[in-house]
Amino acid sequence: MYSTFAKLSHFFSRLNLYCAILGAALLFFIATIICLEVTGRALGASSRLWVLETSEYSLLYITFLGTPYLLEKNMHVVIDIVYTNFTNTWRLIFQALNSIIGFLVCIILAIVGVIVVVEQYGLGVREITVMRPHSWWLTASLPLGAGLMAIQFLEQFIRTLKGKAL
Amino acid sequence: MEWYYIIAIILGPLFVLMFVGLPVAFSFLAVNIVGSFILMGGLPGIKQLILNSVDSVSSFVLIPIALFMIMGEAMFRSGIAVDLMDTLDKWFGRLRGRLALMAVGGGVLFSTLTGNSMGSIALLGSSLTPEMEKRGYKKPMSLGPILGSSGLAIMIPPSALAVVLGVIAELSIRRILIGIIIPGLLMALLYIIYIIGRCRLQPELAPTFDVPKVPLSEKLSASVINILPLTFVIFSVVGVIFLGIATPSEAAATGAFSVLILAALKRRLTFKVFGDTMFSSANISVMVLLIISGAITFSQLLAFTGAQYGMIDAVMSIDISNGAIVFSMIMLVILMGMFMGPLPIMLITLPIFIPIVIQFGFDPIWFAAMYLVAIETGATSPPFGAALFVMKGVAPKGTTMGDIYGAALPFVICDFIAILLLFFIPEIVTYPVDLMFE
Repeated sequence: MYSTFAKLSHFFSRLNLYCAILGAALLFFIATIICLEVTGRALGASSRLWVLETSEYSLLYITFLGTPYLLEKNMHVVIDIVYTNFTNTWRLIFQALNSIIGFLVCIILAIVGVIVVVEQYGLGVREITVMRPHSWWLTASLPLGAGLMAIQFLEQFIRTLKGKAL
Repeated sequence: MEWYYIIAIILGPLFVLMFVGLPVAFSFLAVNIVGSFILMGGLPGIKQLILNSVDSVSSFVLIPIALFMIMGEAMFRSGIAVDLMDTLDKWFGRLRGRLALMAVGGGVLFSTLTGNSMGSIALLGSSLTPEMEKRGYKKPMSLGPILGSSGLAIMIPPSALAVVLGVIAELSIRRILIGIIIPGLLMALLYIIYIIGRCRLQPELAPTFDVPKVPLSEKLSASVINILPLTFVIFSVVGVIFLGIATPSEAAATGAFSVLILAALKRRLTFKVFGDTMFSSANISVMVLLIISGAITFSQLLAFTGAQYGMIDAVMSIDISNGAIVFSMIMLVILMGMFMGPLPIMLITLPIFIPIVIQFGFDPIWFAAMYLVAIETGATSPPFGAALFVMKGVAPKGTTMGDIYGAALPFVICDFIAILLLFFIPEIVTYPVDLMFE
């Protein structure tokens, strides 16, 4: 049982890392295309409208791909002035409660997100922009990230039950 | 339902979740989901929340947040920041309080190159405080200047927090970035006046010491090698905005590339430095962007309930001057800064404050500049300002929180004076903006 948990935990940890690396690569991609756009325009070339849109969509994927890794590494912003003054027992209790709340939030976002994606796919909805991408391509980033975060919160909960502080 | 009940029902759980240790972004998301379900018609409300969340992050105005991070990370990881400090060191000579003044000079220069105040504290704190201690500097003159001047990173472009403010408050980011330059320099000037004045009154706080005389030729060559190339970086960010070559979002990209190019020319851009810079920048950006997404949808929920407008009506009917109300808002931001980080404060207060300021007929850019000074003041204010804890992390062993509080206090007072000057002389902010855009 423990070995299954450890294996799953390791698998998702690697997946989170790869997603975060992909996010970092997308960030460099954005910086590059915008820089080329500015340089090109300064040299007299015409503006490429796809640069703006592609950057916006990339930012969306950077956010939702990277956030499960941050959660795993406990790097999200936390207001800890009250929390740090709890005794270890209370800290574990709140850690468990937070994991459950986080899990519920993310699983709801993932499930409803999938429903929205399926609806958009079925209706063939497109963005009203120059590139006119299918909307579900963009919306899918949210349930994808939320699903991975839900798994991360679940893992945190199990670790808390074992008495491990984050 | 009355607006104050709605505010209490929405804000109450938000604060509870934040204070029991749920990450800020998820606290917003939790309240948003429950609020959307109850107030926006069940499942369709949550569907709308998802669409709004996606829309809120895929916005071009948020690009600088991620790209300014690349600038800061590349500066610190490639060692360009350390070169800068070494060069400043050569110029200050035997001046009393030279290391404290160097901290301010370094703080200002780093501010023009990065938007990250915590990074500045970490670098200035770890590089300067050991030397200050060795030279007999007392805590008020070793820790204080670093704490104060590091905060300038949010006052002098490029400033990631200024961009966040512009996005949440729906103000012109370009105008904010230009408007905060003079206030940032004003703060640096107040710090310098304080350091020189205090060193004269209490010379024992910053003893003079012999430094090897550096020939002028060496100073000049160090400046040419280490400082002159930075004008390329500054031009790539501020210059291109001024000349109308690029928007602030685009300028963040040219700035990021200019630092990477500079690091490559100095042969410091190894694969590891590049990889770490990108990975770390992406992580910090994700952290900020997720909170922004939660907060934007939160303010949409607040607007949907009508509570925001109820609150604005109530504030506008208070029988004190509009100026006093605005000033109280700024004081509230400082007070909140003593307990909370900059982002949550901005996300909670701006959707409420900005409409009120606009309704009163004040210039929102002027308010934004004061607001950012207040945010910086709060971050360095005891007992829980975030900067104080970063300082504790890099300060020499044996430094107590009491030492840090004592050192920070005079700089908090300098910030407060800056706020008063901005409040009574709005032209400090509005004149350069008008000059630039009219």
